Amino acid sequence: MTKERVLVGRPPLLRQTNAQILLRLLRETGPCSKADLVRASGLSAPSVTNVVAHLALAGLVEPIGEGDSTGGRPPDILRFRAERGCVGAVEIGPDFLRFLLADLDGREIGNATIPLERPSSAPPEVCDQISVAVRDLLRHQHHTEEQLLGLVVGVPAIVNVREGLVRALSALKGWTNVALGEMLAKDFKCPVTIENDTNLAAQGEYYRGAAKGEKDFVFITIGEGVGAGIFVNGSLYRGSQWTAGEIGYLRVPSVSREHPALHKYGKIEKLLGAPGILKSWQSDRQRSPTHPKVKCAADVFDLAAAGNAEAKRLLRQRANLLADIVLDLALVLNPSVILLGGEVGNHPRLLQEVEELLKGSEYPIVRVGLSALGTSAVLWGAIHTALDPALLRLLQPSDSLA
Amino acid sequence: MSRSSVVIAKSRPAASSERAERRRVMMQTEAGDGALRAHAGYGHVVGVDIGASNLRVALADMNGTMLGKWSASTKETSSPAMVIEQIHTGVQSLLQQACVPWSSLLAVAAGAPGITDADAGVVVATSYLRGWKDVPLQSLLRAALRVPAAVENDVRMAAIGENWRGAARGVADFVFLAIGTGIAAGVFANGRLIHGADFAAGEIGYMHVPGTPEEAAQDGAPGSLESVIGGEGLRQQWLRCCSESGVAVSRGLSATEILERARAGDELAAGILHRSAKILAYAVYNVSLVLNCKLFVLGGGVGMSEPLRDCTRHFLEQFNEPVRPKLTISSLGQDAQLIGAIRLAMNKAESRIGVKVGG
Repeated sequence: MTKERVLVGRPPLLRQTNAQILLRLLRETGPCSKADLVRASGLSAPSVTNVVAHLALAGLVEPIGEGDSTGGRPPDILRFRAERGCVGAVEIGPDFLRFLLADLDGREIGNATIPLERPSSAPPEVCDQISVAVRDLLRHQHHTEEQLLGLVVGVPAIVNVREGLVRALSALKGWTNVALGEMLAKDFKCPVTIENDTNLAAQGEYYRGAAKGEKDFVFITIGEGVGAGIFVNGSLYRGSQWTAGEIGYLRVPSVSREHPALHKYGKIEKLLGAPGILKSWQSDRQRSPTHPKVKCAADVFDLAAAGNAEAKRLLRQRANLLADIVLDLALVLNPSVILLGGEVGNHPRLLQEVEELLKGSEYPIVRVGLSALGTSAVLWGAIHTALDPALLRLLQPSDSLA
Repeated sequence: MSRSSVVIAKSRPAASSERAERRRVMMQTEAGDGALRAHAGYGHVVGVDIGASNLRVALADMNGTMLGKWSASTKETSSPAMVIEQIHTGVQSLLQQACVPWSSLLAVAAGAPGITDADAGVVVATSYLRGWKDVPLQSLLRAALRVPAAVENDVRMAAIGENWRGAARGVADFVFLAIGTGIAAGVFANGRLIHGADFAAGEIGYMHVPGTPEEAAQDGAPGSLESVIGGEGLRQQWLRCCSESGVAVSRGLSATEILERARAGDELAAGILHRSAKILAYAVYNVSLVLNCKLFVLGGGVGMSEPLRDCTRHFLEQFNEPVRPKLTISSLGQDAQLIGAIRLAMNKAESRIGVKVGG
């Protein structure tokens, strides 16, 4: 059993907790009066006055004039100052860098995408690109660097989040055991957090996508690679060495049946990912040159939807594989929903096929759905990961006058 | 990341009456972490293990030391009302034996063999006990014993036991794999049990791995994994092998005996052991990948078999993957669930009297 430490409610801590409660109320309901806050929070009127003063000092609330009187003096209406600061999100992709800037209410302020040159994408260069781009974005949106209260970076790799360490990023050169958190911290005054991209995408779906209100769910991404972000009891589960959800290496029957040699190489990821699908299609094409040409993996699924027999066969094969993965995840974790995302995973035909296959399973079917945020899931997950700690820091006494 | 820090905001009078209550609880020495601890004799708890064929009840003091055990058969009398009556009888007899008054009882916890909603205290469904569907076990126990009650699925209960005093003592991430008639996993993640959205997490009997039968099982029949590794599955394989090879050897062997025979050099049994161990290795490997979990504690009649553990280890090594989970046999054995139930009952008592109990 874990040892529980019980913190006694000393005044500063209490005020901070109460401040968080009032901020949440203000963010959820919009501008309102102190009396409204008293009613909604259950705190006493003097407590609310005290906490509101604290919030005003931290620059997080301001009065915006008088509301309607219900008889006595008209009440002051308060609003949350979402523009007090901002948080930034960065996604490092196989050949791109994406950026998103949001205010303290999680509303988009600005975004940018820049290409990443594969050969020259060593960690120091990427760090430079990131810090230049984030500063540009801030300047463009008329924000100072001091206003940036947190930066979260998503990486397609196993990440030791506590130490900001990127274990191995196969898509880029020179990315093994990179202390990315430390490197970026030198360029920014605010805290920098590094996180696995799939885990961030799951966060994004949880806060504002298809997994809103789901405490136990799994987000499967299928793009260049294959991975899963796992939510348990309302929070992200990363495993004891940060590798939970490495489903690209699962051993499922349909692989050993159709590709017996594959286990030698260890990855079903190579089959299910976009490159694997394209490769299968190309090798089919060499045999029968009448096959239409495709640009990306999703094109193959589009062809299947249009009735191309060969594409349908390929889709069926991949769906079999994915259905086995979904079943394994459902049995171990019993999630309320499993979401599919990524370039390949987000294809409606794949979902349809998987759903049909699962209907034939003897196990009670798990609900499977599509990601709602698509390609922006990682960035939004990063924004929401950055928001709460940023607000909390503003509420800490030492930072309140910053 | 620890989320166990709790902020308690209380008014002064409430805090002072709580202090008085704490003084009333005869305090033992502080155990290094500064937390107050209840005296072992301050009160008592009851742990219950409701099995498919046996009901077991244990009485323990607030150190978690077992003072007595009581058991009865549930083969004939398995309706919820009858089981509750039996538990009542068991508790009464245990209290008498230990010369403990009923008023000293602080809490009870029971493990049940099926999908159990631990929050609502309801046994949703089980195929092991007749007539058990949506049974409000928690409130039935509370009414019968007149103390706060908690309920949990039996495999998770065993996981709690192993985490407290067994092979996974103090380990925040591990899987307790119970292999008996069926197969199920009790998962600890970040020091907490995973229940899943419908309290069905870890029901891996239907898992598909290379080598499991691929036709969908009939309704109510064992799942694909169960049909190969479960006790009944092993016996069926043994019978099939015996009749196929025309060997008229002991047909009435138990699953454990079959596995022991494999170790003794019996070729038929060795074949069965290899097949089952390989499939178990696949299942363990898959679960460890999903959860990034290193420790697997094997329990249950079949799971406790050493030949099965050794052979499964062998296959896990052969996979030659970076992920190599550690297999270990439950150190609490049959008592894992009962000990888990005692711990859960102690937690319940702890929240009632407001201090920590036991170590």
